[in-house]
Amino acid sequence: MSVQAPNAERQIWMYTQMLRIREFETRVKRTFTDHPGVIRGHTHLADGAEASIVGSLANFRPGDAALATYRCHGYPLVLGSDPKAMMAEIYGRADGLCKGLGGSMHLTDVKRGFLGTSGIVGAGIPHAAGAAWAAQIRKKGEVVLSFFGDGASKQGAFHETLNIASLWKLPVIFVMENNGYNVVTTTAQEDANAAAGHPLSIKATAYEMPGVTVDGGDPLAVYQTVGEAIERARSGGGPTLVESKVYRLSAHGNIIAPPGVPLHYPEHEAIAVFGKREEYEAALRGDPVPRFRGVLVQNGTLTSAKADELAKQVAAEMEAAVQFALQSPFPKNESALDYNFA
Amino acid sequence: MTSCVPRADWCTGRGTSVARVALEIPKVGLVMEQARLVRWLKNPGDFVAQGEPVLELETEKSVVEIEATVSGRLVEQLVKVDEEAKVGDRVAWLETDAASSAATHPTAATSRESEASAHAAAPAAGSAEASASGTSAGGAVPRASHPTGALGSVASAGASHVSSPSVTSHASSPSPTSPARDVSRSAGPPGASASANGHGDGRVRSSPVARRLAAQSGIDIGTVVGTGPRGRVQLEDVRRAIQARSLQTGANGAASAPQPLSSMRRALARAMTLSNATVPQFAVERSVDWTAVQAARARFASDSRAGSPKLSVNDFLLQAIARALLSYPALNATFRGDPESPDAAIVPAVGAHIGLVVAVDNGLLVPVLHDVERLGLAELARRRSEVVERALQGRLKQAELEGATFSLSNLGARGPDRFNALINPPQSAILAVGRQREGVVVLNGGIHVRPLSTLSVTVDHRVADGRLAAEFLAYLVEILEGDDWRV
Amino acid sequence: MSQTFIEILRRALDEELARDASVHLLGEDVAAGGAFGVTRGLAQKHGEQRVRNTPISEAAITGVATGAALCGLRPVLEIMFIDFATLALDCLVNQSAKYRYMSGGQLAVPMVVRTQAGAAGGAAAQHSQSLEAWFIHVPGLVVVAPSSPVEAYGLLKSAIRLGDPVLFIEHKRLYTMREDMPENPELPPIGKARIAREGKDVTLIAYSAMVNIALEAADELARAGISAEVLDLRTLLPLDMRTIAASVAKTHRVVIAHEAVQNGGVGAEIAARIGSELFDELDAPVTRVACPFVPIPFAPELERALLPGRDDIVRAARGLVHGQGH
Repeated sequence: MSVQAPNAERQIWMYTQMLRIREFETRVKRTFTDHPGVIRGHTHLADGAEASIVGSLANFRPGDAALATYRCHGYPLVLGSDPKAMMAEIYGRADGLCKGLGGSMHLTDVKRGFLGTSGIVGAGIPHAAGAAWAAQIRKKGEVVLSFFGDGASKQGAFHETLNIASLWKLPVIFVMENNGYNVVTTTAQEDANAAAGHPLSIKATAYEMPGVTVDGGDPLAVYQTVGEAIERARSGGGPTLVESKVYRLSAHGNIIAPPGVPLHYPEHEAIAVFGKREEYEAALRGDPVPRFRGVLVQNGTLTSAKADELAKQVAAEMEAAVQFALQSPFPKNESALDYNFA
Repeated sequence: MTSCVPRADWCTGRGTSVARVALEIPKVGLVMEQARLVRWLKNPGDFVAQGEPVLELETEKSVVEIEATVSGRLVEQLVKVDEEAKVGDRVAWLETDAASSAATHPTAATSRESEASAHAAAPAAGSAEASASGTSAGGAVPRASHPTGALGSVASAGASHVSSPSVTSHASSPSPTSPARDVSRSAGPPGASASANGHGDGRVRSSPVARRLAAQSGIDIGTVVGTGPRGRVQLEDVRRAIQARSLQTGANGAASAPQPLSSMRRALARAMTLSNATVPQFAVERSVDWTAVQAARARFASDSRAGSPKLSVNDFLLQAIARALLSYPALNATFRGDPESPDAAIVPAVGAHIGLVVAVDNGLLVPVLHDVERLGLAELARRRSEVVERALQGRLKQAELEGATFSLSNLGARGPDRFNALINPPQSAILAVGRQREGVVVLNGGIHVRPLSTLSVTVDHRVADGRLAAEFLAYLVEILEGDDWRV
Repeated sequence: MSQTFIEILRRALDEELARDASVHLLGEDVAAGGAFGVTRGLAQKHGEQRVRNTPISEAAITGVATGAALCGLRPVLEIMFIDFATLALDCLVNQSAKYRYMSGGQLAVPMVVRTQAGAAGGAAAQHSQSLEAWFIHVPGLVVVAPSSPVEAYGLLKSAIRLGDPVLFIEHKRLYTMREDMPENPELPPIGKARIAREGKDVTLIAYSAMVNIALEAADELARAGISAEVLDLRTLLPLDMRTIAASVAKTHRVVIAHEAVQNGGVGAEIAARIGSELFDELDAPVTRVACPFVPIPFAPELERALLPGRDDIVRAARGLVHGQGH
């Protein structure tokens, strides 16, 4: 099975989406210094995973669905959610995507197929299988993408779900973004396969489904790999486990502190905990966003001027999102009682 | 409640009376003969409040808790766990500190003596019956009649409630031993007896709903004897106190201020006093079958054009009364003057003028419909609804309240099955209509279920006699059950 | 002709499967009828896609049902014993109950989790529990506990049609209870309690199998001249305080009876709410009748001794009415 490579226009679209995610995440991070106190609670950034996110979702069709973890800003952006509403949600404002009831960890945009997230590691995986079961019953060839991290593959829900998905041949693609760290633990420290030197996609063999490992920094490779898995799922061939190897460029999340203590993003755990400055700097050198720009400029798909122009447009879009969110009112107190029961 | 029947033995020492009270197995249910002691809930030396469970018994049917009917110290257990016990067996001795309460509450003691004796008969015959009724909050009292004042303390534990029968019997004699004093526990110092009311810390133990009712009713909760656990004042206690107050208002002073009469109230009071004092009246009753009226009403309802008034049963009654009055002119009259005076007379009326009793806020009004015999049902309904409306608004003219010889009082669907009304002087009769309900009538040997009411006509005996009243009523019923209506 | 709880429940499921194509049953062994035979024959009639067997993976199957509900199905999941719901707690508590709220009203989880609870006949400590109180602590969940076959019929149908995640707790002792199915059975609304018997002296609040025991207690109390009102909660979350309030305003005395242990039980919540919201109505302390605070023992004799029964309720009610105890 092979998936046709995206054309030039589509590749520029993909690059633009990567830029948008990066710019959005940068703005979230900068909010902690530019507008102290505006973001409360937890945020988790996906900088470094843009290529994986965009490569996976470039295959998305209307009617498909995606579910993810709490590191979830990238997916709805690619699927068409309004960054203003997203930023307002992260700021806890009334105009937020979820009216301020969900926050950074629980972005949801049902109209665009983004069915939500779980802040509990691995807990969303069975829900993706359930959505896939509904798709299988509908028989329209729709698929579900389930995004989670490498840490989730240590949860029972992951293993139980892969078993069911394979047994029932559910149209679901398990996209495991392996960023190498579970907060302050490396994957090799907590995963038997990793400790033995195996890729985590080997877990698929236990569940009789294809398991593939792909360079998550290369959007076209991810596009190809996930695309094949999606084709298989659409045609009734069942699920696939895709291990997409990425490097998280920011720390796990902003610091968690009691109220009153200003929040910020700490240094990456590779340096702060493990003292591996070289590893981290190498990851920065391999940053997928400039890397893909380089590829596109080098092969003539994109001119430098056009790339700079895109960057400028995206920066303006995200600045507008920040300004919108800052202006958005706080939710009315009584709205906290909404949506509890049908 | 299942209570042990206490039997008191008395001994005296160091100037205090100590009552030694035996707990006995009461009869639980109707068939119980034998029971097994499951466990003791109190140990020797424990203080046991009246109403507290002391032990558990297993009977043929269930496990029951046996409670103490007196407060005191458990001094001896007479039956062991798993032993069988029969009804009437002694199972324990309780010691109560009788003298202290007797000393601090002499009046209470004497009053309770009579109260207790008033009650003694029923429980003494068998406390199980009393408890099985489930309504007596007090329960058992001593079987034996004790002549000493000290009885008060035991009785107060067993029957400290002020139940209405005893209150009734005392209410007529506002003496120091009246229940008014009896219930005034707050005046007494805290003591062994007062513990039954929870006064030990100066606070009245009471349930929230009891407090609310007491506050609403202007009852000082501190004056109410509590029959609940540890003397808690409960709802029933306050209800009893309210009842007691209503029975002895005057002796004890009313809790709420007297209400001056409104002018309507005054007029009513005057008329009814006059009626009751000066009009010798009697009533005759008869059942009426509404089938024909209902059919006629339905027919008119379906025939009537838009905008025509809706006929009520009262319209039919008014027309029927008018016709009956014209047929029995002797009843369509008023009595004038003192029967002893030479100018006393019966004054016949011209035309049928009928009062309609209308309930309004805090009173009654009786607007009069004049010349009813001339009116068809539709016109009658129009006038009736108009005059009732103005009565409710308080806008009746004086002329509309005068000139009737007869009144109609219909309390409607929520009224009583039957009732007699007092004549509104100077009128000479009034018809009281009981609520309509289905009843069985026998017609031509067959049984039929029909809508029925009881009609009662109260008549001024100075104007008419029983025979005339009976004939009038019979004719009225004949009209109502017939089909001859003037539209 | 009378039918058992299981037969009547099966009929409700059968009718809902026929009525609404989005209704799907899933759970361990459900295609084969389930552990108690509730779904027997339904797979043959409606197909194995509609009545789907699952692996023994409570966390995942609850998640699958939840995910399917997000996408328009109305799954009815069977968790064989409520004791096993512990394995599905993350999903129920963190996800199913929260999706609507966290998404600002974009999502709904119209899912029913049928499970079975209570002690009967020596199932021992891990198959006999009454864990409903855990779930009434979770905003977003609905908890229903029917007291009879006909009640279960209507409540299950209402639950399936509701649109919220419902934990539907069947008591294993009720499975053999028989009732006549009425011609046109009503579908009681979720969240509305039922007066199972009218009375005026004391209110006995119960749910699930305890309602029947409370009714027996009311009979016994009536023989002693005490008129007990029996309130069948039906829905434990949300709680029908309106009906409770009306009853308490009438009787002023309350006994709450449940098979679950007393500590932190449903009765604790009701007692607290009566205490604060209906304080002025009370003539006596709110009293609870519940299981002693120990696991359910295996030996059936011990189990029987432990479970609260008619006489416990009678004693508690008599104590309140006659002003004893406390």
